[in-house]
Amino acid sequence: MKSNQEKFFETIFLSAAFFIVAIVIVVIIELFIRALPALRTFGVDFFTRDVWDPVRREFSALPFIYGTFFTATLSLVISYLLSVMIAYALTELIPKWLSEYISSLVDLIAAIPSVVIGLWGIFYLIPVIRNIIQPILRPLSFIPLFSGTTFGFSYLAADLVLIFMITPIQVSIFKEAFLSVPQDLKEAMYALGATKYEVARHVIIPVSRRAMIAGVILAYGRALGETLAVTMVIGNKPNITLSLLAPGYTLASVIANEFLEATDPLYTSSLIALGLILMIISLIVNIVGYFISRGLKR
Amino acid sequence: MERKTLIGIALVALILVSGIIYMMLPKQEKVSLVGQGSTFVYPLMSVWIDEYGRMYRNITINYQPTGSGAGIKAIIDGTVDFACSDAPMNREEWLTARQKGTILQFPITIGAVVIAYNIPDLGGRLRLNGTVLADIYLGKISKWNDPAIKQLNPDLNLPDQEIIVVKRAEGSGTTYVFTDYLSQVSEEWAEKYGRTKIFQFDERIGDRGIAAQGNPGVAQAILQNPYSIGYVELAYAIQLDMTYALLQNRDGYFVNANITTISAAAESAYAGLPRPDESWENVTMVNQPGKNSYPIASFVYMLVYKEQQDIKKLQALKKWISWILTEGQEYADDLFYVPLPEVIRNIGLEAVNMMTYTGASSLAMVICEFLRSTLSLTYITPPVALRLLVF
Amino acid sequence: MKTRIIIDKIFAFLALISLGIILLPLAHIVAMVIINGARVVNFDFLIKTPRPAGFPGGGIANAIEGSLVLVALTMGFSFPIGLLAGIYLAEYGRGSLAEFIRTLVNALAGMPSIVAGLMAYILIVLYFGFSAVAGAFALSLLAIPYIVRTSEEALRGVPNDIREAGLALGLPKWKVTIYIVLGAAKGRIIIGALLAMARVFGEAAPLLFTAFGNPHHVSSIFEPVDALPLLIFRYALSPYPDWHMKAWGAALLLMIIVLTINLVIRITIRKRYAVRF
Repeated sequence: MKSNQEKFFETIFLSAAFFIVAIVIVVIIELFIRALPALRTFGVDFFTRDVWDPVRREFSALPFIYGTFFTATLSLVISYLLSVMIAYALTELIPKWLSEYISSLVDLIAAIPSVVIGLWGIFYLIPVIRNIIQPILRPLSFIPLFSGTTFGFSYLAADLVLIFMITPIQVSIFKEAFLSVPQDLKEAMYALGATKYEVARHVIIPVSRRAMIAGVILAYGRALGETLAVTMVIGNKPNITLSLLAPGYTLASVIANEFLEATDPLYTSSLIALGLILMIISLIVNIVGYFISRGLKR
Repeated sequence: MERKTLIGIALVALILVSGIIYMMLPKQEKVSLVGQGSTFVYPLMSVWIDEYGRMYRNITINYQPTGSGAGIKAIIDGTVDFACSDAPMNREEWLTARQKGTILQFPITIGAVVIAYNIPDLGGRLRLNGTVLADIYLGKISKWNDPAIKQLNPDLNLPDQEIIVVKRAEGSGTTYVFTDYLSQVSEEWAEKYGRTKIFQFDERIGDRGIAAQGNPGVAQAILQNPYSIGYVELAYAIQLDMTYALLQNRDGYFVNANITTISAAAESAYAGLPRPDESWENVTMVNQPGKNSYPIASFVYMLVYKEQQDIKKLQALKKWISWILTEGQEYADDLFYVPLPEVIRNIGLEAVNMMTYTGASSLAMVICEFLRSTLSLTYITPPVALRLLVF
Repeated sequence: MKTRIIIDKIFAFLALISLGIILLPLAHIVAMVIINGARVVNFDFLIKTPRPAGFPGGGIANAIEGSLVLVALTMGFSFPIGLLAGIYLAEYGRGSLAEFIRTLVNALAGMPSIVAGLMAYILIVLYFGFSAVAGAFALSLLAIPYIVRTSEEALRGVPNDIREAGLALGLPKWKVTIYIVLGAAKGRIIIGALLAMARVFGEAAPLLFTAFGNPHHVSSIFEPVDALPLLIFRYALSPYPDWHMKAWGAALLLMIIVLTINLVIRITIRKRYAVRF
């Protein structure tokens, strides 16, 4: 038996939730409608051709999908390795009193706004890549990853920046996971004479696997959608290549750079289609991550 | 709660409250105009906005230099009050704009495109002509010590380095003027590209090409990359202390870009100009005869609709544009833009006279206006109420 | 036996190096922001609006004011809605409807910031023009999922006995929720809001085609505004050395604001943990 007052309040709460849902649905529909012209014009080619030519009015998503995944995936792999090591150091190697402060420092990285990292990237990272890293990599240029010359603005710069930004996320989650490993499990191993490394490898990490996966997925989602810092250092040139030194372009960057300049409807529609693609990609990654982490809580 | 937290929360609340206060500041009758477009004119435009703002405090103008192409799109879309472009609207754009009303185009100043370069230890000033320039941008000439360049510059220290070619990434009036010139001096260019606001590099340029955003972006790219070449508006080259080439004009003389040479080029275009409500697609002043003519010069156009829906904005626009065309012209030559001769100013002033008020006729517009004025209040009440509830 | 110890030491070494690798850029960034920024920040910098491009002098008051207005608008819009939705999900939502809403909110949480800007452009800018309102809408799309999530979690964290005690006293459910449960959870809810606010201060991507930028003092929320991160983006990409320096100054201001908020959060959290045990 609900009083009218009760129902009133319940309606307010429900309305707020509904409002959010409504906005999201309206927006997705609008995005879809506006992306349709481009998708209809180019069809499947939109995903398979490698072209982005505002002059001849031929657009496709392939170079940007490539760029987005190329940067995000490579960064994730390296960041994962780094994060596991750092979490290991913070939980097992460094004394607790110190570890708390250093953890705060690492968390601090996540608080730095993306623009500031981009700003630093332009003035300090790019010259380093151009003047120091490039000569160092020259003897290795037979490896496709390191081939080519660079103006400094490159996939490499974007990767370095991304690694820097997504590592704290993973470190924080990994740390929490490592710390929740039951103490007795670890003690049992130590009692048997295991080294710290062995305990980590055979106990801590396997037990934490699920939480770590959630962390990795969260970080991946972040890397896929990161806009500003990447745009400022990647070179902004659609480029499907294995060369890290070459300039590149991601879905987020091309929208950021070219949306206001898109002068014809097909151009705008193509950019919105790219936005739709980006949104769908991150939605999928997010939903997967959400369900995995919920699986954990049970 | 402990004192530290209270202080922290107080700080944060301070931030929020100051934001709200800014929103509610008593405002005198202020009118804001929004414009978008050409980066070519931006150095002069920002001086105009600054000076005008000092004198007439109740009219503020916000101009975003996003490129001529974006400016044209914005005025057609109706997201800005005025736009600036160094490229006149082409037929397609003009017809599209006309569907929404009478679009007015008129010159507000004259500027020049210079060819800036970055060659360490050159030992003098680079000389170029149209053919060589076109060949560089077509990718046919790829090194600085190419015989064609050497021929024009026998005394200079041209290095054995690849030329890094910089162009505009987005739809640009500067590109339009530049390609207009290249089309006149190179048949191959005219066939392959013609005059256009945007073009893609030929494969021969490949990795040597850089596409930058806006005149500032091109300037930046040239400054940062040794052995590069690019086209920028004169004011940028001067403000940033860049080296730019002497160009050979149609009569065969190598000229610098300055008020005299640009004026000489512009004069030839003064006759037979269209009215503001007509299309300006064929107006050009590149590659003009005359021993003093600088080869790559152009009008900067302002685009605005004749019919305005907001009477305050209409009045503000009229005042602002008239000022640009009269007193504003005095600021031009400090930045190496050419002040418009009276004949040309009158075209713009005629356009200003043509602008009229077509009031809010539909109910929807009235509701929009009502919403606009009351919404600023409703944004404040919910959070205040909630805070009272929660605490 | 020895190899095992060597392996152990090697990994310990690698782990510590990794820590160093991640902390080194942090130190450098912070140092550069402080060093470069401090050179530029002075009274004029904070109070004056920019001079024409290429002319030295002037300040970034337009961006500072713009940021404050945008954040105020964003929090004003997203905090109530997010909180109310969070209350719904925690206290009233049952079954698949609530599940659907929750999944949607979580999906929204991972939205790339540029897509939020795109959405705001389509919904707001095309009808109302570039404005602070449009920018705030875009930022809200990013803030709301945060606030919903943290509010819901905070409310769920309140032990049921409190609710039952309230109900046992004869209070209607809505009163229990608003006055009692909310009161108990308010610390965590505020932390969630603060986190959202810190994030919103630093976002520029959604503002690129919504707030648009504006060199004057803020006069109306229905007009374009500038913002600190937006200004940094523009100035960093420009060729003017004067603007580069100003970008560093703006970065310094931004960092100070964001770090202060984070500090407040940290202190509040530390206190709560202390109080619990």
